This record gives sequence, C-alpha cells and structure tokens, in this order.
Amino acid sequence: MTRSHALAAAAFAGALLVPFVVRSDYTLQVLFRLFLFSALGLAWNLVGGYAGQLSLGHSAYFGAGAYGLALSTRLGLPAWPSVGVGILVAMLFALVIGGVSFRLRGPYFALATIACAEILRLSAKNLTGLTGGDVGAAVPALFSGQVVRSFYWSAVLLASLAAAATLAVTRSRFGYYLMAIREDEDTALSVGIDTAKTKLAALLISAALTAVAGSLYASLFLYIVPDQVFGLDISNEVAIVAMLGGVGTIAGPIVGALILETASELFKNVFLEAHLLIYGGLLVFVVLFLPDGIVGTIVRRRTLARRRAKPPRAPDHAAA
Amino acid sequence: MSQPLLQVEGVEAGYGSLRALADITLHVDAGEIVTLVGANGAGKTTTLRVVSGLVHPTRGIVRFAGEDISRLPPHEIVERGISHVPEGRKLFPHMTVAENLALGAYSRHARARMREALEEQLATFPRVKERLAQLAGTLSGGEQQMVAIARGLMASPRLLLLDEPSLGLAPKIVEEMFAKIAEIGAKGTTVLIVEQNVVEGLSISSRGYVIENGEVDRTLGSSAAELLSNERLRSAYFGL
Ligand SMILES: Nc1ncnc2c1ncn2[C@@H]1O[C@H](COP(=O)(O)OP(=O)(O)O)[C@@H](O)[C@H]1O
Ligand SMILES: [Mg+2]
Repeated sequence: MTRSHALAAAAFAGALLVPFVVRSDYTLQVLFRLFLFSALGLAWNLVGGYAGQLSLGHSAYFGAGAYGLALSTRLGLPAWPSVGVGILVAMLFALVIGGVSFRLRGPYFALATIACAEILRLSAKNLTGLTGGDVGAAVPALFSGQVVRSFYWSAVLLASLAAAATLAVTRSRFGYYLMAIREDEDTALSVGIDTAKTKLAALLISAALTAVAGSLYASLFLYIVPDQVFGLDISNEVAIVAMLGGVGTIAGPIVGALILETASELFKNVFLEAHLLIYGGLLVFVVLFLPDGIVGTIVRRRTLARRRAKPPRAPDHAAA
Repeated sequence: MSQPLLQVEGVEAGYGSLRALADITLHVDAGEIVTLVGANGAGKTTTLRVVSGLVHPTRGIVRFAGEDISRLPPHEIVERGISHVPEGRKLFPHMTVAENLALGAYSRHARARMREALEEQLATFPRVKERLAQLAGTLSGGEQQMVAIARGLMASPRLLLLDEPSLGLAPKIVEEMFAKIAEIGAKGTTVLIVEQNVVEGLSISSRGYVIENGEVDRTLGSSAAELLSNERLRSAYFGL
C-alpha cells in the first residue's frame, strides 16, 4: 500500500464519519452537492478528460437517471430498481448520442452533444403525457429516517466508486487506448485501436455513473422539471468541475467540485441568478490561464522539475 | 507466380468532394520493398491511407493476401497484418516511448507476442532502448522516427507501410534510416514506402511506382533499377 492509497483510505473513512460530527442538515446538503459533483466530474472526466472528447451534453444522462427513477416508480417499480432503470436508459442514450456524435471531432463533437441534450430537454418539456412537462414529476424518496445523512453517504460512495473506476481505467490497457485517442485520434486508428468502440465504452461507464447522480439529486428534491435535470446548467457545471480541477487526473474533479461548490455557496446570495456568468467566467479563465486545470498544472510542474536533471531535447515536429 | 501480398486495383478515393486518387493500380509481393514516388499532393499518402483503411475507396479494390479489405475498418486491417507508420512520425507525444511501443501491439495476435516483439525492436533500434522511459515528444526527429517504425513493427505485421520516413531528418540520419529499413526488409517484413528521397528509396527497393495526379504512371516499368536510370524521372524527381 503506497502513501497515496493510505491517504485515499483515510479520506474515505473521514468522509464517512462526517455526519457524526456535523449535525446541521444544511451543511450536510452542501457536502452532498460537493460529493455529487465530484462524482459527476469524475464520470465526465473519463470521456472529456482521458479520451479528450469534450462532452457538453452530460445532462442527457443526468436527466435519464432523474426521470428514469421518477417514471419507473409511477409504473409500480420500487424506488431502487428504478434507479437501475435510470442507468439503463442513460446507457441507451449514450449508445445513440455516442453513435451520432463520435463521428465528429473537436468543436463539432461538443456542439453535437449539446444538441442531443437539448433535444432531450425539449422532448421532456413537450411529452407532457409521459413526463408531466414543465409541471414536473414527483420523485420517490430513496431513503427514510435520517434522510440527509443517507444522501450524503450515497454521494460519498458514488464519488468513491467513480474514483475507483477511474483508477482502474487509468491502469488498464483501456485507459491507454483512451489517452491515445486524446493524443491523436488518427494515429490511434493507425496503430489499430478501435476508436469508435473505445470511446463508446468510456461513454457508457460515464453515463451510468452520471445517471446514478441524477437519481440521487432528483430524489433529494422529490420533484423535478426538465429544465432542472436536462438543462445546459448541469452539463456545464459537470464539465467545469473537471476542467477547473484538471482533466485527465483523479484528484482534479474533486478539487474542482470543492472550489465550485464553495464558491456557489458563498456567492449564491450575492449573485442569485448570475451563476451562469460565473461559470462562463471560470471557463474562460481556465481555458486561457490553466489549460491543465489546477491539479494538472501542479502535476506538470512537478514532472518538469523531476525531469530537469535530464533536460529534454527540443521536439522538432516535422510538418505533417 | 503466387498471388501478390498486396494488390491495389483501379482505386479511386478522396476527401469529401475532392478526388485525391483517380486510378491507382499496384501490387507488392511478399518479401519485397517497394517505393512510391511522386510530387507533393500526387496522392501517395492517400494511397497508403486506403490500404490501411483510414480512407475507403469509392471505386476499385484492395486485396491483402487475396482477401478484399477495401471496406474493413483500420483496426481489422491491422489485425490482418498491415501496419501503417503515418507521415510526420505521429507519436503520442505525452506518453513515454515504452507506452508508445506497447500501443503498437494492440491487435490480438500482437498482444500475444508483445514481449518477443519488444525485444526484437530494441535489438533493431538500440537507441530506442535508451529512451524507453522518456516522453516521446522530447526525442529528436530521428529518434522519433525510429520509435514510430518500431511501434509499427510491434504489431508484427506482414506488410509495413512507411510514409516519408526520412522527412525532415539530417542527411546522416537519413542514411541510417534507410539502412534500418533495408534490414527490416531482409528480416522478412514486406515494406511499402512513400519517399521524397527517391534515390535512397529506390536503392533499397526491388520495385517502385510513380504516382502523378492520383494515377500510377503506366508508361513506366516498375523495376527499381529501370526507374533509377530513366532520364525523364532523373530530371523530374531526382534533381540529377
Ligand atoms: N485530410 C484531407 N482532407 C482533404 N484533402 C486532403 C486531405 N489529405 C490530402 N488531401 C488532398 O488530397 C490530395 C493528395 O494528397 P496526399 O495523398 O497527401 O498527397 P502526397 O502524399 O502525395 O503529397 C492533395 O490534393 C491533398 O491536398
Ligand atoms: Mg504525403
């Protein structure tokens, strides 16, 4: 067991013990959001970070989890199996959205993911017979008794699961295939990587985790409307969490969630509906000044310092 | 004569509405080194991309060991034994040399003999061995090209496609590069090269083809010696 393993285990244990110390439901709810968005950022990171596919439509899977839970219970399914339905629906969406948008690259891919998520949002608004439209849909309670604690613990577990999945992916051949696609998709193709299948596999894992987060979020509110769970806000926040902390790192999305959730708690009474402005500003700042994110920048500095003993030669890229 | 290892017949291909290849017919026999020459934009890279499945032909057929591979996706073509080392020595720059090499052994049959293949490559390219732990993007041009070729060979291919392996390299390194390619050919891998260094390319080849405006020049024979001594080619391409 390395030091980072021990550290991770201690952090996990510490996070589980928090509700025994923190008694305020309000604080626990803030912490719930923190872990929920850590999980979401980690899930997004598999596709947006490791594979380098900038998805700006992850609300599709979040909404699938939320409405999957809400609508399946209406058909008589118990609450937890309904979460499973949400996962399956999200994976189905991922198959279709991935099948369509992974043919495109760069900004076209990002636009396609936004478009797909928007189609789902508008469908949810207009299929009033199914979803209740803008009137909304009731969501069953996943827990009884000490509800907020249970939500908090679920979010901690989900974030840990997402972190463990990320760790497993980065240590596997599959993780290398994802990173090869990020580095250069054409070259990945020419060494024989089935890039379509690899990207889709990453998206399926990502969508499943995102759907569980959507179910938890919906069940905490007990009531959802399309704009809330299928909206651009969720898609953006998820991407920003990962990009702010650092794409393609495990700690990145957790750090990103910590900063973003703290900031939105501190400023929510000041700015009210100005959060979009804050997101936009943060995104521009990260892209311009911290393209590797906070964790990514620290990792890069340390790697450079370690390599300084053996100075790298100037890369002379020939024109392709 | 048995069938050629690679047979390209009347291939037309392009990018969107742009037709890059009009009519490409050529073949490569098992054990040969064959060079494609031609001006910039003639369609040499596209020809290799058609063979490796990165571009699908709109007409014509590509056969590998007798099988029609013209509609197969790239990873299935690699699986059948064709390895493409792209133009501009496209490595994964933020990965180590060792990781780059490992990624070359993606196909199922290559994974099975990865260790063996790695040892072979390190024996062929001793300089690569010293750089295994280094990030690929920090290598010199010559080293990057060696790694790119070694990565291509990690798939244990029957046919190796090399797109301008000497591009941008110092003359001394170019010489070394061609010696390596000749060595790879002598060890039994069939090689199809695209080269601007026409004389060096043809010198290690048994045959060659001249591509002009997306077509193979059929007025010329394909023997390397004949091409090297052809007056028109000497003035057009060799600068002699
Ligand atoms: N990715 C691409 N998209 C559009 N056109 C391309 C692309 N690659 C090459 N072409 C065009 O196809 C033609 C043949 O190019 P190429 O096969 O790269 O030639 P060569 O390798 O002989 O220099 C050229 O006109 C080139 O501009
Ligand atoms: Mg070319």
